[in-house]
Amino acid sequence: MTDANATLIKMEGVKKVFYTDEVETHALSEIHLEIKKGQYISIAGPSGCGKSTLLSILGLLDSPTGGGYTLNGQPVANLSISERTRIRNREIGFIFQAFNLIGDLTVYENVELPLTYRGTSAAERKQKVQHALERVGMAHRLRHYPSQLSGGQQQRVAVARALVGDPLILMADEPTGNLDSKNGEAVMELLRDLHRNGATVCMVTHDQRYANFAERTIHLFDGRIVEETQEARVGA
Amino acid sequence: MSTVWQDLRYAVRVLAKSPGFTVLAVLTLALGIGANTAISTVVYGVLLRPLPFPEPDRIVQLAETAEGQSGEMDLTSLQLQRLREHGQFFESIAGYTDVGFNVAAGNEAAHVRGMPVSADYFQVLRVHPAAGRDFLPEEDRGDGQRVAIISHAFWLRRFAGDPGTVGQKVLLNGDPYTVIGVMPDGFDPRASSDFSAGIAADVWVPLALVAKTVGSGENIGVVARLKPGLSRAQVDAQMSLITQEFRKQFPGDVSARQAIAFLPYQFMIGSDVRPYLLVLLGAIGFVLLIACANVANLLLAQGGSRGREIAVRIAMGATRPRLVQQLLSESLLIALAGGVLGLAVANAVLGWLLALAPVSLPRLSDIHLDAGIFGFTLLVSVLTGILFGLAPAIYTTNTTLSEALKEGSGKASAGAGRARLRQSLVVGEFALSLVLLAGAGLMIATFTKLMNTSPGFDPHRVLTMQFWLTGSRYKSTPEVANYYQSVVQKIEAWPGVEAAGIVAAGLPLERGGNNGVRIAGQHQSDWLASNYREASPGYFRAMGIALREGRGILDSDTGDSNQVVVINEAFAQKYLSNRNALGEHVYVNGVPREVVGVVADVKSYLDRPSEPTTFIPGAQTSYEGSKIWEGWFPRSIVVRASGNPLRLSKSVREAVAAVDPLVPTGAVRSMDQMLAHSVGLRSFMMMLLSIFGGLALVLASVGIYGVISYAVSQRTREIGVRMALGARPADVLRMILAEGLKLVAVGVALGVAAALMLTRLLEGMIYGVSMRDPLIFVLVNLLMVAVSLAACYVPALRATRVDPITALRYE
Repeated sequence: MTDANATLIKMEGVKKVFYTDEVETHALSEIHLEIKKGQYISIAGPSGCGKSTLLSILGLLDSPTGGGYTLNGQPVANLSISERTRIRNREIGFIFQAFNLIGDLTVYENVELPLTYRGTSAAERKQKVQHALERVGMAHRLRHYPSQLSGGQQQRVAVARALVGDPLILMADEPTGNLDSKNGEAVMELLRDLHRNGATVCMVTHDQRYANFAERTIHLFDGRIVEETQEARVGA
Repeated sequence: MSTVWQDLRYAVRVLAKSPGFTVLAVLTLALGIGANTAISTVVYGVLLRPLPFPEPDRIVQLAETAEGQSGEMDLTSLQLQRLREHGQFFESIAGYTDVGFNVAAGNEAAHVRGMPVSADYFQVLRVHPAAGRDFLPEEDRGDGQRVAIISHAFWLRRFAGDPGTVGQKVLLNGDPYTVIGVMPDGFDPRASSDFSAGIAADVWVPLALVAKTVGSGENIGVVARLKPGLSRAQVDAQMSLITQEFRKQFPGDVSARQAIAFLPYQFMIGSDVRPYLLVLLGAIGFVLLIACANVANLLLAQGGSRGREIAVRIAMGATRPRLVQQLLSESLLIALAGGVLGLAVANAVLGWLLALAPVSLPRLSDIHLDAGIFGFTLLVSVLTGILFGLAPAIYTTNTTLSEALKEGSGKASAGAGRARLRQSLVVGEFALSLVLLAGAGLMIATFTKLMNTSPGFDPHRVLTMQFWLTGSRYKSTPEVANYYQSVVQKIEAWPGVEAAGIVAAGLPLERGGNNGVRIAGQHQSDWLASNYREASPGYFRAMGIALREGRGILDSDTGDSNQVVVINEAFAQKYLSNRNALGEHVYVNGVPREVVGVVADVKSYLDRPSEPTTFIPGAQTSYEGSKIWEGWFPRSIVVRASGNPLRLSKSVREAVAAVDPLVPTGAVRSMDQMLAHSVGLRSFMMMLLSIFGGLALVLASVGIYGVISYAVSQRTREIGVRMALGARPADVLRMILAEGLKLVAVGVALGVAAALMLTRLLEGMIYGVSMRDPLIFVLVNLLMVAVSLAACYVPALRATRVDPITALRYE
């Protein structure tokens, strides 16, 4: 995560329209956004304002209906599914509200998943998974299944999974939404530590307390960016 | 490779986690694959398994064909001779025919099946005696020499496996033959046209011994081994030339519509049962397709609950092909487990099939599981896995990521495409089931019709026993007639016997003799085809054949008395339609005979009209002529009992032995057994198609149950809302049942259309019923609707019990 101030993400006039029967729903309109490497940005707003849709497009889980999107200098708005899959695998790490760990896989296997799809050798996978789990303090739970872990532990494993492939950016969608306040705080601390160590983080949250952990907050309303705030106590 | 291993490991884990799903899927496939393997094993064994001769593809049978259909296989010795002269593309060519031999030994007599064959017969098959030698050309010339080659089984039975058997004498029909060879164990080159199909030959003798006596050298089967490297076109061109020449040389034998053609020897064996077996193979293929559709449906339902997992994997960078590979490895694992279990099912089903198989099914010993069948099952399993796994895998991986990954969307939305696929699968299952049930319905109707068809006599309480007199001490017609009388008197003296008689040249419901007859006063060349039987005085009464006019055969019909004949109604109607039959004269075997009686028509085949038939008094037959008939068709004692005829079996055998222990006897059967045997193939077909149809219906019902259950679970909230708004349980029940019936209706409509096309394949197998019999189609439709309503009723009932409050909280 070197080369601070270099632009990692650039969105220009991005819009997203959902079509159901004869009804058009404009989920996002005229989104202009730039995220630099090493930034910690949160996307906030009321329910239904388009936060998750924006994060999905940012994470290449969805594609915009219009506008331009450049990731690390590469236009990605109109990539094929397989190209999007490849970039997602190598350059983006996801953390979901519902953890989204696979119940039939162990902690180790869950974390190893992105590397498996990347074709990384078993030895390298082992070393990277171990390292990622150590970073989130879950190295002692390798053989456990998600159902044997608490919510907070599951989310830490999900963070390890997001980290394991050394992505350019971590995308977190309401990462504390399913956690109690104590575990929520712990996960936020973890993200802050990662950011301090150079990670670029983009987080969706509707909780103002956690939005304040980020150095920049984008406020969405009805699919448009209505306000952007810079936190004074970045990294506090 | 590591990803494959990883996928397999994960697949095991996933399947172990859902034992109910796994067991249901594996059992469904085991049933489908097992039944398929069993039927395929039968088809392979009967029609396809290479014959146990070197390069069997080069062995051909010569047969008359008419408009592309194989017909009569037999040629004459003269035709065989001409074919030999055109032998530039034969490596070897041989004739064979079929006779029975009496084998006397000490105070016992036995009858064996024998094959007079030309000297190069074994050369054609390229199988040679394990001990001793083959026939020499000079042994098959002129009148032939009394030499014999015997089977391994006969060698063990008759000579106790004596290594010094070659060179010893064996009495065949009372004549001494020198044993020159013993064939290897298992050698059994029977063909479907053999009169004694089902009985292995025990003795081979030179054809020259009988070529000029058996029907004037007619009825000779011809097999040949083609020279290597000949193309089919070359052979066909040559045969076309030969046919033209034959038409000139044998104008009466080969008509303009007929041709002499080569047919693969293997093709001729089992040609009678081929259409039946192929229909069964197609039918069981349908059952497997239905099983696949069911498992695909289960996988789609399961895939619906794995939407989040799939979405996570995609988010983590899994490509769609990679995910399809992973999901396919699960379905392949299920299919392979189904295949392994299917082999056990196949083994059990095969044993059962063979136990119930009709006697007319040839090559029974070639029907067994082996490495080739294992390979076939493996292939079927893999293909099955792909077939039922691919569509669900593609649909399951076709997910909207941003939706599937959201909190609360643990169950992926059913998706219109996936729901449509599930419904289409059920529609397909019902369509296929209807085709099978319609086929089963037609066969059941056929069987019922056949069983209700009068054979022209009273088959109940009648016992028959085969016997042979050739080679016995009865050397003239009067001696034979006296023997008949002694045996009949002896049997009629037993309590429980109402009547007894003897018939030669064929029993009812079996193939028998036929020859050309001429009505006196008609032109010399107007030969008319007629069945030929020789009967003793008590035969008509014992068999229960009604007398329509005149009289039957009497004791007074002796060689010295007026030569008479009794005809059947078909003969009277067809050949004497404008006259009173009694008193007319008919030439049979060149002898003018007065028609003294007309009897009811008796069927040789239940599904065919009775043919004109003449009955000659046994005491007025030609001794030599009777011997020829006996070579093909055993004589039979017919006994009418007052109770169960089979109880008389021992008594009848003892009575015959008491008169002369050196007369060999054969099968003892009741006419009821023969009646059942005559419809054996159709009965077998009806039973299997009914089972397949039933199985298909059960599977389709499980399929629609699964679809409706899933739909109800997906619509719990909607049902709750409806009920909150005032829908009564009956409204909900109607709504859900209507949804199921809509699918059934579409399936049934498609099935009826398909059945109308596909049941044509049953042509030739059905009897007395229209291929489009409306009653059968209505009944099948009603059955399917009733069963599917029952299958939908359970989930529909569950829907009516939805608690609106719970449902509205339902995720």
